[in-house]
Amino acid sequence: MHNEDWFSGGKQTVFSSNSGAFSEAFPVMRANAMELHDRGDILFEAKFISDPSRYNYGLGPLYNNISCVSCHVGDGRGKAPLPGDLFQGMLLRISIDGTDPHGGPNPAPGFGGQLQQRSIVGTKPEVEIAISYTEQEYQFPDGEKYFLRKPEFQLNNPYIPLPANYHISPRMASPVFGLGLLEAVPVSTVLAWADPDDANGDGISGKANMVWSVLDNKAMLGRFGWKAGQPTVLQQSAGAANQDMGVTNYVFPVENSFGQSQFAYSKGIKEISDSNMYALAYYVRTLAVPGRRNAANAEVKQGQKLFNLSGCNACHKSDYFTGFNMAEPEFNYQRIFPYTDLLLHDMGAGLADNRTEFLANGVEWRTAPLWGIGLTRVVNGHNNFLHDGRARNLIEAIMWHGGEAENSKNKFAALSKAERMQLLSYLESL
Amino acid sequence: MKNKLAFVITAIIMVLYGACKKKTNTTTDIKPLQKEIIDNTIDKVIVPSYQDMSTYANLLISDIQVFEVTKTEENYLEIKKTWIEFRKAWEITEGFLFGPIRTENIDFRIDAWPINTQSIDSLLAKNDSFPDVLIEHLEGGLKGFHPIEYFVWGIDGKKTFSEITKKELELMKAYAKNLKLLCDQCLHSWQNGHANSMKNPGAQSLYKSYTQIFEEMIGGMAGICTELAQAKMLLPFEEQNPLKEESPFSSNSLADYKDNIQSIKNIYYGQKTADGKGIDEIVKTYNRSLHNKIVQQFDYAVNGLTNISLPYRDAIFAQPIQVQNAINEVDKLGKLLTDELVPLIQRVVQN
Repeated sequence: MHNEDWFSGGKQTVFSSNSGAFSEAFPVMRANAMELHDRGDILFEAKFISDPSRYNYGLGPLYNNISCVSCHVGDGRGKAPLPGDLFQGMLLRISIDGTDPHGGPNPAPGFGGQLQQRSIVGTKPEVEIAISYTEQEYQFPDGEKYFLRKPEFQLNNPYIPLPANYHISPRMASPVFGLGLLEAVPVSTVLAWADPDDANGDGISGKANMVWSVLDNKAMLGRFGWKAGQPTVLQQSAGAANQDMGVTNYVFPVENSFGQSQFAYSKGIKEISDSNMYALAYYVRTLAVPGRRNAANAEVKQGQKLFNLSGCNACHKSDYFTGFNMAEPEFNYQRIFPYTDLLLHDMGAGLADNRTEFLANGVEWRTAPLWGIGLTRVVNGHNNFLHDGRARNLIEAIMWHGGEAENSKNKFAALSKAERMQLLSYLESL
Repeated sequence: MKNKLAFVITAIIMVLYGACKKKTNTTTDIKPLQKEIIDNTIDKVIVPSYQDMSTYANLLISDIQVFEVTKTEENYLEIKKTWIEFRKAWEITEGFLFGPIRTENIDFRIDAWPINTQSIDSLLAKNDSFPDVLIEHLEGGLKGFHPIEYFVWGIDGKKTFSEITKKELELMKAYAKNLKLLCDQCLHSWQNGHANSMKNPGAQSLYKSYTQIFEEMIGGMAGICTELAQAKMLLPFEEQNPLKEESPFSSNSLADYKDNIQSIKNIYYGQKTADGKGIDEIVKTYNRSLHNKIVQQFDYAVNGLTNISLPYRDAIFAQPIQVQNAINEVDKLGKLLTDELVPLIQRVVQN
């Protein structure tokens, strides 16, 4: 018999461990909700084009990719490009000092808040992006070697000169399953964990990002994105449609190229219907969470103890409950195991992007959920982690932790090799 | 595109809970058979299918080059014939859309549809040459099978060989070379890593167990049923929009659909051209009636498609009963695979 912690998404857990593991619908869903999910599924895979005479119209004029699934392959994680590769699952945010009227990043004049390195035929992309890495060798206390690589980005041939003192922040596409359940966690639950001034002195702060909700016209708890910069799955999805693909919608009806020379190529209409935009977000909200594998294995159980003893669970909070939602019973009262507190933490200078996003400063990142992390390779064919995909495996991801997580990282490093493997086995089982 | 496979798995775990204790009382060691099936399916179905793709890509390049030199009706028909055969080779890989074809984003660069005819025309007009790097950087909707189809058949499917321009041929050749590059990438990734990962499941491997591999294979089979029924066929039919047809210029969509079913059969039987062992060996041994049902449903799905006698763009208007019936039968096949084949495999496969 499985313990409750095998069911990472509560009743909305699926025990699939193949390459489709992130792509399953909630197993418990009303028939009409399932129809909406299916409609959104088609849209998530739809390739948008710029030709108004054909369907799936609306791509560009500026864009990063042509469909949701092109970045979120298998509803999963983007792969970090190597030097010379096309940027498929990664993009760069850009801003200058200051904030926008709602406290968000201050868009770079002529470029907006995100760099689009692709454009429809006949227009010029904002910039060409190249990536290179520097790599350094390190040693665990027991002598075992490991390597860490750090990416650097070169912005070439901008269509107009880049502003002085701009800030960029690379962002990998994240897995999109389970987001509806994270959205259903009560605000009060998350805020109760926040300790921005570390009043309890445990070395872990935890700050809630309060971000702008476009539809509600007010600040709300940020939950989604690498810096928790988006309050809802709908806003996150609609923002991606607009910024990543140039597909305007009812949440973000203005082209990402507005005010730029490329805007001349836009037809200036809402390019995805309201129903379809809603269905697209609903698909993401109702993707089930893969259940655990091998959770009863002795090595895995020992790894779990080491995970907790190292203090990883202080931020990667294992489990809690979703709230009540009369209209959408699919999300109600589930005990879920996402391994995130949804709060911002100082992750140290090594990972810093030095770019603010609402209340998140340049060294803070939202605790990344760990559920399903052990299936990354089978779904996405790689093990690239962290906001820019620099980590090539879980060890590198852990060893990049700094700031508030420095202590936990050092505890992990001080473990014997066998113990480190046990902790990794635990992560692989999530 | 989900395959609803996990729903079944969840249901089993939640309802039977302690099923693992009862998992299988089989005393027969079927591990050698399992290994034989997986090795055979990879070596005799999957890898040869990708080899075919690479071969046809070469042939298409060659046909275009021949036509460039000798612009005759006969040589033009040769390009059409090769494109259709190449297309068949691709569609019979769609029952196993896992591994490099997905993780390396190859699918979207080979077979994106709809295509952006306006931008393709613009691309043609604005460039004097089409170097590899230009094609490589194009978005999915501007390259792959369907832009070539567009140039060969024309937007209305009535293009004649004398209408094809020198520049169109240049672009077609560049597209075909890019297809060859992507087909080779997929083939090499299978040959140089993925095949080995699937053949050798274990704690240190990409696949941890035989069950996971069989689930992957069945997930691929069921996945293409969902895509075929719910997207390729349903979208143009439901919205009465022939623009949503997958191969509209050549009217090859129905052949594409049938080849998708053939792809599923190839995996199930572990056969492409040569005999070999497939998943059917397990099903026949442990649940003969399920095997019979699957075989019967293959026939129903193929017959459903065969009963559509008009090109799909016309059938969505003139043969709604036949179209709906075919969609239903393909859907049923997918459900049968997920609802009955997966549980059987989970019960009998040994790890």
